[in-house]
Amino acid sequence: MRDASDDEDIRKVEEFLRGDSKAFEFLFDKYHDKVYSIAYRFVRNREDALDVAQEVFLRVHLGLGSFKSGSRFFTWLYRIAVNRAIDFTRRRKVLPISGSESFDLENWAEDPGRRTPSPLEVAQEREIEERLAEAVSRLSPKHRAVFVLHASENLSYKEIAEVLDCNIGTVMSRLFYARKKLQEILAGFGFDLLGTQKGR
Amino acid sequence: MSCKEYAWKIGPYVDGELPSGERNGVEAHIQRCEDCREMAMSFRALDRLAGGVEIPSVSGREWAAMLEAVTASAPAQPALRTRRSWEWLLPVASAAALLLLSLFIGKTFFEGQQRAGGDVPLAGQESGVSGRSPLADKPGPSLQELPEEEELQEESVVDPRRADSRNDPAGQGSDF
Ligand SMILES: [Zn+2]
Repeated sequence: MRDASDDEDIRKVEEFLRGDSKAFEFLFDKYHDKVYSIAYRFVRNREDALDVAQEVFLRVHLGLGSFKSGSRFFTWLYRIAVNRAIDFTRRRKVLPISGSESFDLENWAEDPGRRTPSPLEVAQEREIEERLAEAVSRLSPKHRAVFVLHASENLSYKEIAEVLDCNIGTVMSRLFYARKKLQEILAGFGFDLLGTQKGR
Repeated sequence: MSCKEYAWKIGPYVDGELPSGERNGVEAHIQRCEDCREMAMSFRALDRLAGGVEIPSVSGREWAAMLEAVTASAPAQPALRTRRSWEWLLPVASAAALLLLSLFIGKTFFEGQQRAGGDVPLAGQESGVSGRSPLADKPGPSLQELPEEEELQEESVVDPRRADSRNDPAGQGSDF
């Protein structure tokens, strides 16, 4: 089940625990984009995603000693990333900021028609991607986690189950409901996924 | 088999996660059932769109700064943004601060009440040792958030059936 990349990670963890700081640097370089990407899918704001990523790596740096080498490093890491990202969005929710304000940075507009006009197809594609990101942010944390890990990070069901510490049946069920819910939210925005696809 | 029964298999079919023994059956159903076919197509469309969402880039310099901050691992030196980077590092300090604060508020309140009759509804009045309740009205952000985050995440993402078997890295963020 473990591949060469997983073995390499475990080796680096062991080297780090023996005092080799370069080994941590290796893991950081290997995974910072992934951690940042996961964080970004949740928080949808560059600076916040960087904040989350830094917090994740701080935890990893201090907590590698408690990593159990029977599991795969990346699933442990992604679990921390998802957790921190969810925690971040929860904390942001209770802050006295309106939902739209917190997304202003990326201009995830409520009204995409106001965006700068560009060639129609590109605009349509961008628009629906943005709406999808908005829709994903409306999912419950557990549905969002499964959808992000599957659709954006391309993890297998088994890997997602490892990250979220649940069984594959739970992953399947959450993914099914996440997708149905996303369809529903997008339909509410006036998007027909199939229409968009056919129109491309 | 009805559409309802096939519906559960369409996601795994689209994702290539269906056991080969079941693939043909789902495929055949999708060929003749428009609803299920549309479901499969829209699941695919969702995945494709999700994969296309653009992520703002981060420069090598920024990553280097982050690595430096992380490996310094001292609460006082986060490079990017300090606010959320270090607050979790101080559970002990936070607990101590809470205790001190609760004692202080409790004491202040008690003295104030002795002097003026005290109409401030501080929870410290009920319990000087709970450590959290005295902050219920005006919590400092970092002090308040620490205990709550664990509870919230347990509730949302842990599969209770598996909670006992998790690889818990000593509280290093693995709250699933
Ligand atoms: Zn059908």
